[in-house]
Amino acid sequence: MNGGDADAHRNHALRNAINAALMSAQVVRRHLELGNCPQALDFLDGVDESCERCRVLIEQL
Amino acid sequence: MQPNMLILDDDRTFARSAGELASQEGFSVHLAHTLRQARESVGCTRMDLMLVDLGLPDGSGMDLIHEIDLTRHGQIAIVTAQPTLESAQRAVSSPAVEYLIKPLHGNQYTSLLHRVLQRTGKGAAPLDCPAVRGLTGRSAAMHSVFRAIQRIGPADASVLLVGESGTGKEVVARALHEASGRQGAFVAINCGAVPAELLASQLFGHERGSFTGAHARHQGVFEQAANGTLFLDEITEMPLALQVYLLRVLETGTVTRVGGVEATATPVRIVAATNRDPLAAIASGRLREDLYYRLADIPLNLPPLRERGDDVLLLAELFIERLNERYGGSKYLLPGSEASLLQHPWPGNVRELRSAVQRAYLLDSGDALQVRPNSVMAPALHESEQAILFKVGMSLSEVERKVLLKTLAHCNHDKTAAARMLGISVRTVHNQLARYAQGSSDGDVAA
Repeated sequence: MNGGDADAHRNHALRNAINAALMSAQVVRRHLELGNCPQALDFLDGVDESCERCRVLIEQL
Repeated sequence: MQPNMLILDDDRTFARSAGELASQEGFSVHLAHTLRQARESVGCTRMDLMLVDLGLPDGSGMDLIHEIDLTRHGQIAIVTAQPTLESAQRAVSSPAVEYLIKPLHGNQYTSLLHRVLQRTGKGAAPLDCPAVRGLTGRSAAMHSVFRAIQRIGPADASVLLVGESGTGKEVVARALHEASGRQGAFVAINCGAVPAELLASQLFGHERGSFTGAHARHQGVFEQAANGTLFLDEITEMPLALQVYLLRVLETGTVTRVGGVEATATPVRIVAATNRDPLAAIASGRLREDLYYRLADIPLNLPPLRERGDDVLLLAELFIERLNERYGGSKYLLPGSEASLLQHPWPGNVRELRSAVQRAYLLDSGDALQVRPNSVMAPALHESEQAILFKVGMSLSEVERKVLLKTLAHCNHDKTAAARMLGISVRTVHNQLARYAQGSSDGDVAA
């Protein structure tokens, strides 16, 4: 993979990871508004996982 | 009937979360992480909405879009982190295909879900409860209100609704009445809109000849609402002397008409409302403490629109839908305009939002509506306790009337204080009020 391809690949992966984090955060918020703490915690794992993907990708920059 | 939705995305975290939100909105969600799984789902189920990622382990989501019969399914949204010319061209070539680029911003996704629910008409009611007809909301704050209505509706307890102007106090009062199962009528009166001199007659009725202009016996709202619900709006605007009499009526359960001697039993459920802080109103002498405790068996706070999250979008879409029904249109909220609606503080609450939607509907030429808040366009057009709105062309007598009534309310209906503030004599105040009262008995003032 040349430099340009690697950048495009990283950009693609980063967009996906941020998207997943944002969507999971929306679900967490919705569950917290409804007082469903166990479900909120469940989807908070998704936020964690997506943010971790972002961290790894950013460190590769 | 639940609308069906396919989410095709190999990012499992995103797909699961997007599916959860869609389920909460009433969709039956089919998750697929590969093309093969997606083909199986669309082969046996008609989808009202398909969220399709392009880069998949076994091909491109575009392959699926090429394969399927678009007329058999509903909306398709390509959601990609790698936008290409081909996929974008494909999207614009069909009105059934939308093109969204990851990361999705703000409420782009929930707005898409709402639009599909609106078009299909398959969306589940926000809450399946006949008692809350006329109330719409999915926010936690409104769910608390819905639950309270269901719990306290059938009780006889008095309810005091506290909320800003435009938060739906009368709608909630009606919902409480419907939930009560009472056979009598729902009757509403705005205690701040009726001149003090007339209020006693409006509330309790009067006998013929009891005062000048009382040509016939009049039944007050207490009697009109017998076995039903009486809604006393703006209760803190009621003169203190009348509050004493109201308390007595509530304690005894009987009403004596103005100028009468006979007490009539009035089995009425009271729902009162105020847009002031009731405890502050007690402290400032606007509301009697003993009346407050009698009215507020159950105090119920109504949230302002700015604290209701996505309800702003839900309500905006609902108002557009109603206008589409009325005018036979197919207008919709301009995609991307959600953020400005969510950021606006909506000081006029739902009333302001409805007005802004209606204005956009009637004035915007296209189908995509850009809803602009009223208070952004006209920040000065706002009446408050300290301000009066005068319109060009308003008659001088109406200006005078507004100034006098507002100043009287400001002075807790102390005519001497109001006269001093206005630089007129107390006799002039009395004369003017008598004139308004006469005009009202001729049908000038609505109760």
